Amino acid sequence: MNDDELITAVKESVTGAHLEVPVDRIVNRSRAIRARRRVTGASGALAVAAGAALAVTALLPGGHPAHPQPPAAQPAHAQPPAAQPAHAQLAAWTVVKQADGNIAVTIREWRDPAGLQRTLRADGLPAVVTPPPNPACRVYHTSPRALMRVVTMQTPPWIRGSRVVLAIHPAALPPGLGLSISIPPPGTHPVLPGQMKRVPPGALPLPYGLVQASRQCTGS
Amino acid sequence: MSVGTQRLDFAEFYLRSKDECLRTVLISVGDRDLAQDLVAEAFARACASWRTVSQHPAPTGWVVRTALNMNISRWRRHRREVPVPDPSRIADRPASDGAQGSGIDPRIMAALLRLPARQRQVVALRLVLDMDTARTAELLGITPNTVMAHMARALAALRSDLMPERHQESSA
Repeated sequence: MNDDELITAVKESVTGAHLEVPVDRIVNRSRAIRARRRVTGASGALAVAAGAALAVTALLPGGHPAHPQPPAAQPAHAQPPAAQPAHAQLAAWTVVKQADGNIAVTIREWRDPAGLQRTLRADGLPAVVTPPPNPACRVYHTSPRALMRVVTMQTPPWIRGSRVVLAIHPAALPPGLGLSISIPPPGTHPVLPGQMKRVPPGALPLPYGLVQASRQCTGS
Repeated sequence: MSVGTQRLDFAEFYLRSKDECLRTVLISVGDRDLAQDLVAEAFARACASWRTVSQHPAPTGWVVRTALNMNISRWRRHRREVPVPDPSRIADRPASDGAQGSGIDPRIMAALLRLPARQRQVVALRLVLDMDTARTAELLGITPNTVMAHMARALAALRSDLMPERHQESSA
């Protein structure tokens, strides 16, 4: 076998392989990538703003940070703000509604889920934030790919530790459905659909999915 | 360029080059399903940045490089070996199975999988994408001389790997 025959044989060995993905699916996926870039950019700006100062809300008019820690959680030896060292207390979660209608949710700690639920609903998203199971809600089973059209996790907890950024696209939410964010019971490591097998210790697991929208479940 | 024109432009590029990109990545990673996922995602990224990618001197090379980089990222994320099919198992399949089922010649694919990863990448880019030595070197971040050395060693290894079987076939 000379080189030409060998090269021809190698070339012909894979001629039966065809990519069967329709171009529309590629284009749809590219839209999600662009949306993720926009949300990531906004989240980066938010993180810089939060790290630089406590006044996140003043810097981001559309932002809704969670309530600060209750007084009991503050160190007993807390000093007046002017004498405190230059480290910022980050909010447990932050919701930013963007000009295009998408919502970026950054969760750092599981505190004030009722406030998070109230804020998401105030931004027009039928949402429920509760510990599972919630008897008032009917789960809407969907594929991971369909779920990703509505919600994408920008910083998976098993990569980035204890901070999760969700990009929510309310326009992609099918009519009659709402978003459910379930607070995991302490110490459990739930499996996210199609995303991970296990969560490393110390990570912040965050199961989310779609539910049938109703007044009892999602408030509308 | 309007959005509609961009989309038509990308669709034309996708339909023209998707198969050869898949074949290139398939030879490099050795797993058809994984190659399909990587190439589809790489094309989606190309579409998301089409204004930039369309100006690239070799857009197909951009897609292949992106797919291969994603494979490396995937490996780093999982912190374990990327599963590569056992060449002996592929080689044991009857040739008709490969031809009718996946359209891939199992014996040649098995021989390709026995090559080092870099040699496989050079073979894939040079033979499937028909890239010249300079472009292949640029894409892989190595010198043209290294590309030629990899190519020569890969062809020698493939020849010694495939020759006995071909010889047996002809004598049988």
